[in-house]
Amino acid sequence: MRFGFATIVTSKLAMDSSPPPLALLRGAATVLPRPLLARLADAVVRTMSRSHPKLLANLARLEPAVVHVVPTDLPYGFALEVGCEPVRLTLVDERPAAAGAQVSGSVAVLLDLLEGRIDSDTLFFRRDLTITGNTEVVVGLRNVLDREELRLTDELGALCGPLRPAARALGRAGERMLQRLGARVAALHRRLHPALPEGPDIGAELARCHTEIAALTARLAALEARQKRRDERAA
Amino acid sequence: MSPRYLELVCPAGTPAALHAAVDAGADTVYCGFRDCTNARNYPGLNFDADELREGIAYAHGRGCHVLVAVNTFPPAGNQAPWHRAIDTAADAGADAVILADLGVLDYATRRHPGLRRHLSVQASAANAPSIAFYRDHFGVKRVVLPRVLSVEEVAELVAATGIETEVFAFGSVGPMSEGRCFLSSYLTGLSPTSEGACAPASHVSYVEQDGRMLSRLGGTTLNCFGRGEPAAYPTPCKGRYVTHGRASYLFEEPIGLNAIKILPELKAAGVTALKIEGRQRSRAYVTQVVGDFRKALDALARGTTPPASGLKGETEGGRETFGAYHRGWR
Amino acid sequence: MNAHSPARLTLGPLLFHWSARKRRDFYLRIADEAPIDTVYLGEVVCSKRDSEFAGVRVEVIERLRAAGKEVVLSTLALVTTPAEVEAIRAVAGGDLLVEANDVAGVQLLAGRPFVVGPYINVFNEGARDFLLGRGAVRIVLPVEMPAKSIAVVAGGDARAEYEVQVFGRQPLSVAMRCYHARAHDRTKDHCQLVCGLDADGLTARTIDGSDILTINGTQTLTHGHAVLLAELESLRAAGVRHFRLSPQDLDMVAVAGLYREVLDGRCAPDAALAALRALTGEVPFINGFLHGREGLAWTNA
Repeated sequence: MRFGFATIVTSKLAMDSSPPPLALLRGAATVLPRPLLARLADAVVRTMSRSHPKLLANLARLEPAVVHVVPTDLPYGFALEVGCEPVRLTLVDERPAAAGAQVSGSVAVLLDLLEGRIDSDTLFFRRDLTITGNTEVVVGLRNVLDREELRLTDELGALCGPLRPAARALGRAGERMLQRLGARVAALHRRLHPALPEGPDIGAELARCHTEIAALTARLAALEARQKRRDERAA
Repeated sequence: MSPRYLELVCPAGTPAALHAAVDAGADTVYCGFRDCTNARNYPGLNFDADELREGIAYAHGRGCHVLVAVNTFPPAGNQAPWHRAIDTAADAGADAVILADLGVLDYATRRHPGLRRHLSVQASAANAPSIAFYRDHFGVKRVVLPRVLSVEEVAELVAATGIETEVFAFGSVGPMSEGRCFLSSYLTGLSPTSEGACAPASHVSYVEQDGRMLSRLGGTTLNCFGRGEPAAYPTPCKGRYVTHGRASYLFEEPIGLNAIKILPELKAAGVTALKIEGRQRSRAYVTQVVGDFRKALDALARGTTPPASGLKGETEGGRETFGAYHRGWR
Repeated sequence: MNAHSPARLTLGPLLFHWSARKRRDFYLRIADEAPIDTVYLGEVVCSKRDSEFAGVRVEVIERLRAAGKEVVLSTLALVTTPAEVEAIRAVAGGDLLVEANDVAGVQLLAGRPFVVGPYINVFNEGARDFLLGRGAVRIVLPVEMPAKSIAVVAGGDARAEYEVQVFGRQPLSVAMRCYHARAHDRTKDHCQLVCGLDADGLTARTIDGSDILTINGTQTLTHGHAVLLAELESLRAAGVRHFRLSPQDLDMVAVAGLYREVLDGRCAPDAALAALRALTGEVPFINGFLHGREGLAWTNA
């Protein structure tokens, strides 16, 4: 099977409902260079077209629209173009002029939604999710996403399938950069808000990132080992 | 295995939700086709014929039944899609179809006499003669009772008709007699009864204004929520209206039905099955709600106390009610 | 318009909760003065109101029949209690034609002719044919039905008569809950019939100040008056012969006169519309459902 790897990973991990390495994802999404993030977003969509071909087909079947996805705790947003082929995901700083709808919520909320851990109506009732503009496209998008069992970390992992060494190098680079930038941001933050008693505990956040990186590295190694065994068996 | 306490009938808006419902312990799953033949015709939702076939195979493989809702009212001159939906459900091996329209019931009775027929809540059969009518003329085996009856009234109906009944156990509180409510089409021009979508998303909009959120349906402002205030569905019956100079939830508040604490009452009333509402909700909701009800039913079947359940977060407005089951609701 | 068979003007059941005295005066005036062919009598909305009419019912029926009007007994739209079922059974045993507004009525009227009221969903030929087979002689079509559907259901079918509401607030929903009581911080069981305070229903506004709905006990109606005057001719062409005026707290005799003149070709719809405006005050006119639009819309036909 051509797309075996991604399929196996997805179905295996769909049973694992643990939350994603949130601090790491948010950290990486904050400090990684923009061009790299933009390429990553693009690559994830392309990977998903292999790992979840039905999802991409369903997204392409929606009414043509641009949805502005706004993670409220990131310095930028995404423009998701659906109802067209190929479906595109790009990084944006402002609401794109063509955006027919906007969805906003924290990274945690958006990821829970993407990965089907929480119901969007529930988020809506709690006001954790805000929808403006063309509601129909957002409802359609939600329903189409909910038809699939998606794990963002698996899609990122699947990216590593064909490009495993490169991706791991990238991961390591990201980790180093995260460390350096994290320290700088923390220092800057302390300088800017010397008297602020509370607020984001950058140190703790970084510590969480490191734990998550370690867990992810272990998971990736396990997956790679298993895939290797499978490849050997298949051969 | 302990004898079944009450049959648990669960929603599947998508194949993924069907899997989730079966895995979480549904006895029966209900779903609909991707068109106006069912009352949850929202974009991106529902099944095509192949998905239904696959879903039925998955469910049947795990001892679970599948019901197909064809429960809207065809507009004049265009009954064919409803007839096709019934044919497709029969071909796919559905265990029953859930119907509401007299003409559709008549078609299913004549064309597929062997296919079990349930009466949808959309038919609004809330009394013994109505139920007898559907039973006598269309061989209906089960009636989904309207959400407007008290437990005592449910018990009287079961006693008077001797028919299987299915009652809502979790989901929206529908204050109006369902299948006969034209409020949404009054504001949007699209009919829930024939097009299958109350408050269709195409006509819903939200506007953020000074930290408040306005919800609108068509050109009509339904509601306004302050920062952090729990939100309601953008349906006309959950809007705020002004009477006597005072704004209030005139019809129903943002609150969800949860009957998990009165399952013994429903059992004693002679109910056959519990329906979890929410084909428009996602599989996370399905997993959680079905899982909690499964645990409660299994405990009751064993004669033990059901474990604590925490579904409040899943309900509209984050609040729960027994709805019409307890008389004070009216 | 006279090329068609005669058009019948009907007066639908009174939906609001009026005192016995007000009801009696209203119907006696209809009997004596209104160019109306058929009068529907009976409580459709809430069984708790029934006793109010019982005392004057016999007199009103006699006067209406003496005036040559057909009397049809309307029944409840949402039937849940055994007592409500018995009330339908009682009228089903009489000699007047009965309008069923819940499928319970269809079951209890088995074997005799009956009218299918607008609260029973007859949206298509399949439902129509089934009910005709059960003895329906007239079908009052649901208010939500657009003209093109009406033409399919009523057109060319000589087995039954078809009726459409052409004046007055349109019923949108029925419920077990009493919204009138809620608006007065009461429950249905302790309502003290506060719906009787509003002879034309209670207006509900949106939070930004638009009049949108009319509350009538457990029933919700449109705020605007449905006015299908310009559409009468096309409805006749589509096979509709009965035109329903729904009683409102205004001069219904005058309203009936205007519709009669338009049906008889003695008055142009435009002129009738202007005259009607003088009778109805500020309440907007609506006709959206018939034109396949949102019910609250108005289309100049």
